[in-house]
Amino acid sequence: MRRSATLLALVAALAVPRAARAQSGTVLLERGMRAARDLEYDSAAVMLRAALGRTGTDALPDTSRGRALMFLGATEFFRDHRDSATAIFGRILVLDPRYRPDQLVFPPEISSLFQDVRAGTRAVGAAVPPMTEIAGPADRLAVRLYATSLHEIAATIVRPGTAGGRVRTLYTGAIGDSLEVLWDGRDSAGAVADTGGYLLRVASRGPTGRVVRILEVPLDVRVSRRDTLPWPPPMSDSLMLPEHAPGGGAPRALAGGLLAAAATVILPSIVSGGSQATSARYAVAAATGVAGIIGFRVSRRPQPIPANITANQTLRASWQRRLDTVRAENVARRRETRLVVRSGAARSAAGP
Amino acid sequence: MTAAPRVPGRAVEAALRTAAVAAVMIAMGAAPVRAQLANRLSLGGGGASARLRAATPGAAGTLSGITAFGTGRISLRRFALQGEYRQGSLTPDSGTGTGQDLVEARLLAAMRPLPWLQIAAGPHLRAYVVPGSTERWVFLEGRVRAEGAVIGEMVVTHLEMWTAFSSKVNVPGGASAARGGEVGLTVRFPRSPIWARLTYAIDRAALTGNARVETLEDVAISVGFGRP
Repeated sequence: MRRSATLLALVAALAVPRAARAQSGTVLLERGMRAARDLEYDSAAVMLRAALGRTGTDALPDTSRGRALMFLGATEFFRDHRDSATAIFGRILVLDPRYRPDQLVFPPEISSLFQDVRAGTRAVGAAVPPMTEIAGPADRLAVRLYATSLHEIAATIVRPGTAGGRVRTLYTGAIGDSLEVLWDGRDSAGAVADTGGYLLRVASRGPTGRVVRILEVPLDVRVSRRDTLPWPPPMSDSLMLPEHAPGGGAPRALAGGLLAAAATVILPSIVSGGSQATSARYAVAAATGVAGIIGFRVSRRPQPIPANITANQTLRASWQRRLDTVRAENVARRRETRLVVRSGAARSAAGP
Repeated sequence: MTAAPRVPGRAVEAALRTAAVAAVMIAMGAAPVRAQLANRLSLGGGGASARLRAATPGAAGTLSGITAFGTGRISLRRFALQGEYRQGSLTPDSGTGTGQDLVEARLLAAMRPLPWLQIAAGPHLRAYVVPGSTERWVFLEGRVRAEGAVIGEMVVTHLEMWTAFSSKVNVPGGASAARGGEVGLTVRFPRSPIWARLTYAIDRAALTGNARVETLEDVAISVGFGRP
C-alpha cells in the first residue's frame, strides 16, 4: 500500500511538469498559487518556476512576475529553503524596489524575512517618463529613483562610446525611500547635449563604498534646432563705386601756376613797357608759382570722390545692418534648441 | 612837402558803412540764408601797396602808399555785377614834392561765357586829389579774365587784361589811352564761404601824345565772404 502511494506521488510529480509545459505562464501562476495555498509546496514550486520560465506569448506579464516570485519565495521558505527564499526576495527587490508583500496573503514570518532582505539589499529602481521634451530653460527630464534601503548612490548621465563617457553628474549622496533627479539636457559645461544615445546610470554603493549594483536606463536624445539663416553674401566689388579718381590735371595745375607767375613778371612789359616796375610783384609771382607746384604734386595723387565715398558708406552700412540682423536672428535661433528624450527599459546588474 | 590828409566824400563813407552793415548781417544771418547769399553775393575788402609813376618827357616821379579797398559782387547764373571802391594816400618816394590822395571806383557788368572765362565792361573812375585840385579820369573799360584751378578748386589763379574803350581826363590835352592787367591767386577755404586773394595789378593811362604817362601798380591782399 505504502509502495503504491509513493509510486503515485512520483507519477504525479513527473506528470505536473509535463502538464505545466503545455500551459501559459498565467495559468501556471494561478495553479501554483492555489497549490501553495493548499500547502502543496513542492507542486507549487514546480508550477511557479515553470510560470516564471515561460517565454514568448506564454510568458508572464511583468506585472505578475513580482507576485510569482513572492509566492515562489514563500514556497521555498516553507520548504525550508531559506537561502533560496532570500535570493528570490532579493531578486524581487532588484526588479521593483518598492515591492511590498501583501500582509493579508503572506504570514508575518514571510514579511519579516522580506523586510530583512530589503534591509540588506542595495538597489535602485527608476521611474522615467517615456518621453520628455526640453524646449525651454525651465524644462527638465525628471526621474524618480526608488531605493530598497538607505544607501549611497551616484546618478550620472553617460554617453557610451565616448572618451570619459560621463556627461553630467545629477546626484551623489544618500537615498532613503525615493529621490527625484533632474536633467536639463546639458553637459557639465552647460552645452546642449548632442543627438544620440545616452544612459542614466545609477550606481548603488555598499557599506564599504564599493559599487554593488548598477541601474541603467537608456535615453535616446534627439536635438532639433531651427535652421540658422545664411549669412548675406559678401559685398560684391562691382557694387562699389570708385572712391578715388586717378590723379589728373597735374600738368594743367603746374602750367596754370607757372603761367600766372610768368604773367606776373612780364605784365609790366606788356602793359607799360616794363620800365621800373615794382619788385613786390615777385612775391605774387612766387606765390602763384609755388601754388602751381603744390597743385602739380597734389593733383598727381588719386583724388577722393566724396559722392562715391558717401554712396559706398551707405552701401556698407546697409550690408552691415543686414549682417547684424542675421547674426541676432541666428543667436536667437540657436537658443531655441529643443530636445526630445525618450527612455527605454531599465536594466539592473550587479556591480563590478 | 607832405600831403595833407584828405577827407573823402560823404557818399563814400556811407557806401562803406552800408557794405560793412551788409557783411555783418550776412555773417549773423541764418545758415540757409547765409549759404544762399554766399552763392550769389560776395563782399570783400583789403589793402594794397600802391605805386604810381608819372612820367613826362624828361621827368618822372614816383609816389607810393597804402590804399584800402572794398569789393562787392552779386551773381545770377552766368551774369554778375561787381563794384570796387578804394582810396588812400600816396606820398612821393623822393621825400619831396606833394602827396596826393587816390580815390578810385569801378562798376562792371560781367558775363561768363565759359566757366573759366569772364568778360566785363563798365565805367572806371579815378581821381588824384591834391590840395586845390583834383585830376579825374573816367574810363569806359572792357575786361577779359581767365581763371584756372591749380590746387583742386581751393586755389585758383587768374589773369585779367583790360583796355579802355574811351578815356577822359580833366587835364588839358585830354586822355589818349589806358590799359592794364591783373594776375592773382584766390584761396577758397574748404567748407567755408571765406576766401582770400593776393593780386598784382598794373595799368597805364596816358595823356594825348604821351604828354604824361601814369603807371599805377598794386600788390593787394584781400579777404572776403561769398563767391569770389
